[in-house]
Amino acid sequence: MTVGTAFHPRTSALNQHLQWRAWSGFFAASAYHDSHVIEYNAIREAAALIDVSPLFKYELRGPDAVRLVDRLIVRDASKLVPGRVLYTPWCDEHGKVLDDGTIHRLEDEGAAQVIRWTAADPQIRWLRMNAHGLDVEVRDVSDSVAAVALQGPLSRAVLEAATGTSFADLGYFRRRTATLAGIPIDVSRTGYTGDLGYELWIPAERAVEAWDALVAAGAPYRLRPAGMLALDVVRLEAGLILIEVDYTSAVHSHIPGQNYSPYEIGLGRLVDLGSGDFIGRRALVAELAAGGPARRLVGLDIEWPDIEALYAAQGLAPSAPPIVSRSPVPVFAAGRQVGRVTSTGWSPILKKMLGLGSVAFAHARTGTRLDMEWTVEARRGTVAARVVDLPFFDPARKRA
Amino acid sequence: MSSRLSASYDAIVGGGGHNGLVAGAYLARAGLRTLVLEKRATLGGTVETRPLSDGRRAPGLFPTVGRLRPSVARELDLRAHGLALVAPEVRVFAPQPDGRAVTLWADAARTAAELRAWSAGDGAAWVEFDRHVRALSTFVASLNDATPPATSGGSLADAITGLLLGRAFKKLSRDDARQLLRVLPMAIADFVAESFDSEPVRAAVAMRAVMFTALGVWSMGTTAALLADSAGNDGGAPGQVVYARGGPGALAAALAAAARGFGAEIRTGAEVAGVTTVEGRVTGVTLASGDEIAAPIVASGLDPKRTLLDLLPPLELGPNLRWRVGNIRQPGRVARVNFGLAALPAFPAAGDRDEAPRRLRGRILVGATGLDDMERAFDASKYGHVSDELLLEATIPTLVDPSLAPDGGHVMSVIAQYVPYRPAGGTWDAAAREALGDRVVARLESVAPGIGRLVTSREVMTPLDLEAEYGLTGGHPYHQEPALDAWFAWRPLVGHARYRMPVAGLYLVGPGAHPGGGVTGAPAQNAVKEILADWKKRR
Repeated sequence: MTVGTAFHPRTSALNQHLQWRAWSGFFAASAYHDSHVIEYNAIREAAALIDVSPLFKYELRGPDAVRLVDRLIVRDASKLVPGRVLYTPWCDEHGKVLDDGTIHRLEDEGAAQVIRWTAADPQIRWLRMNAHGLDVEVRDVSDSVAAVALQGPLSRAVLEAATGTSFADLGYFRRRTATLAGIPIDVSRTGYTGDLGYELWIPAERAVEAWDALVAAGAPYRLRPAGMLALDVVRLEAGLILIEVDYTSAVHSHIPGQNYSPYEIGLGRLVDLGSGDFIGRRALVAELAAGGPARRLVGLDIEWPDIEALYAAQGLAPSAPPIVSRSPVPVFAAGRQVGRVTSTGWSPILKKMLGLGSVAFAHARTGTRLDMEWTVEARRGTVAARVVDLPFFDPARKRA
Repeated sequence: MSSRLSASYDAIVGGGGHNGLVAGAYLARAGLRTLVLEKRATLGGTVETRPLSDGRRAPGLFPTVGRLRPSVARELDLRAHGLALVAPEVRVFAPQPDGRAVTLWADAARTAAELRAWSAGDGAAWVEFDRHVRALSTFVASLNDATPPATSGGSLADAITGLLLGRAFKKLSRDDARQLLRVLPMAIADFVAESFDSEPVRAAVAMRAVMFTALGVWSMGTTAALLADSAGNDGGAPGQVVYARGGPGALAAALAAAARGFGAEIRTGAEVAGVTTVEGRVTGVTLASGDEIAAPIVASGLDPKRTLLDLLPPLELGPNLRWRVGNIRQPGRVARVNFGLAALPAFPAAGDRDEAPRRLRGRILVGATGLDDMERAFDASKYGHVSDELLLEATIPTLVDPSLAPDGGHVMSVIAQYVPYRPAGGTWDAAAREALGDRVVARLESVAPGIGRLVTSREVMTPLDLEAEYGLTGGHPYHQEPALDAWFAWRPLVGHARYRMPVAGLYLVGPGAHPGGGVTGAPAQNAVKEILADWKKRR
């Protein structure tokens, strides 16, 4: 049964066309407005509120909380000092990615370190299985913590207006506590949009109050609620991968080819093989020693004139599908398939058709020209696509 | 903790129990510079002779050594190292409430003659039953001698093992072969009831299938446990009774002497605190003292949980295997009570003063009166209770070896079967321990009236005490329940039954590995074959 998130009393009233999808058992708005493009514009030009409460959230508490993180993530957890947030994948023993998410170090409470761990899929068993011998308690706080992303170039102004405090000093991937309308919340400079933005972690029982306070403070800044369709476009522009779309969790893979190492999904830069052991490290060392994985994540800049030509061939005016396609399509080099594109969509701000894909290493170098399948009116064709660096869109304000 | 690299060896054996000593001896015999490390001050682990407060000496846990693999005794020349064995002609004496007793002798014909008093049919059935058990046990012994096959990618060695097992299987008569696969998963209660009518006879035979386990006579697979007990020794249907002169510790002493004779170094008071590794390979051990000792081979005689969960760095094992190891069942269900006795207690069912000692030299069963009686004793333990029908197996080693009581009198060692590791609603504190001792005395009084007045000393060890004293996780003497799901290729875990643990260079040589528990030396002897095979490959 699908249920509402802690914000549902507000989001359900805003969802004009009852466009819902299910996200981890919760109703998540696909779009609130007539078109999700309005919401996209709010994210890129003003500010938007995105209910991300369906994320799985865990609290790790105890003197060994960071040691548990260190056992699991591919990154060097010693960087995870209070106030820091790390984005990271974590792997199984074969070095295959289980999930990716952000890990937040809250303030210590006496001898206890406190961590907030977010994930797309349930992790409680994995976290507890790996806590053997460590003094740390792992709790699922998914239901007691509501989460909303406040994203967009004006998000800081909205946040400052809502909390009455400056956030100029809160750096990228940092967090701190704040008070919003008398509600103690936690604010992290994180998001899934590639833009300036924050995620607010709010006691679930006061989620509606917090929402109202943000909406009131955001009115002068044209703050809007934004749904999953708009989020999908901005995350594609930001080159951010999506689990079960751009890669398959090792938990859900049915065949070896569905397993991905961090090096295959563009997260190799995060892997620190030298700063102590973590689950999967040995397999990743071996993978590198064997020359690295055979496929890599690439960004693709898809030739619009080629798409136009396919439409023209059938006497049709060209059309750019407004939402991101999550249907994988084959990619070719010299007529042979060398990979697939897993997310495809039009970027309104870049005026380009973009793709995220997984292609053979030999064809993954920036500038490589590939062909991808493009279907118009159920007739298959190919269009040119060039490998480009990620992210596609990377405004300075994201980190500023 | 500062670590000091004190020395380096080819192989380190963790745990100086009898399997650890067997492993140490065989490794040294093969020319490896071998070090055996034992936490306690004495060697042998559960196979020890320990002092009572009155100066007499009694077994640590296992009272007899008749299951010791003959090839171990022969190859290590244990007789030359001082091991002297005494095998009485009686195996089992099970007094009954009506004043009679079931006696099982080494001589099947003699047993058959006596069983006629219980039932003409039982007397007639005994010789064939004994033959049947011996035939089936012979096949189990072949299984026990083999390293279980690999679960993936069978090798030439596996093929040879398969061939040998096939040959052993073919040696069985057609009837026995057909029976084997039928009876292995059977409950011992059903198996004995197929041959015997009288409950006391059924119970006396069935007892050995459940000893030291958390299984009842109606539990599946207990027939396999009985056959395993008789495999590779002269136990047959009644089971072995062989004493080491000087107590079980004499076996440990002989093993240690043999190991030292081959050049092994043995240290007591040296507790292995961890196994050190680099990139998935064993590099040695750390001691509780902080010392580090290097060796490319670590053979652990400790139980699988202790070996894998406590000694290995957690990331070496990995979470999935850790979860599986965590699920290994080690439900300790026996307590051991040693008594010093001023004189030989009178067992009216054993006959007069001349006859009685002859019948009391084997295993004396108290409570083996019927299958349901035994099951009820088991039932109580499932829920953390000690049954009023507590089952006892008592031995009086001084009847064959007076040296254990230098100032006269006797020693009785009792295994109390179905004493839970975790008593319901409490714990094994001093009061509970002594109350258990009192119950054992009361139970003994039912077959040996007046025994309580003869007691000059007493030592009670609950399952919790056995864990603390001997390092048996869960208090289980066999390191892992000898159930069908923990047998052969499933022991200790499927995929890890070939003595090699998931970190290269780490081996399991104790009874958590195939073929399991008891005083056999078998897991260690088997394991060393695999260790040496790897050693030769490496060089």
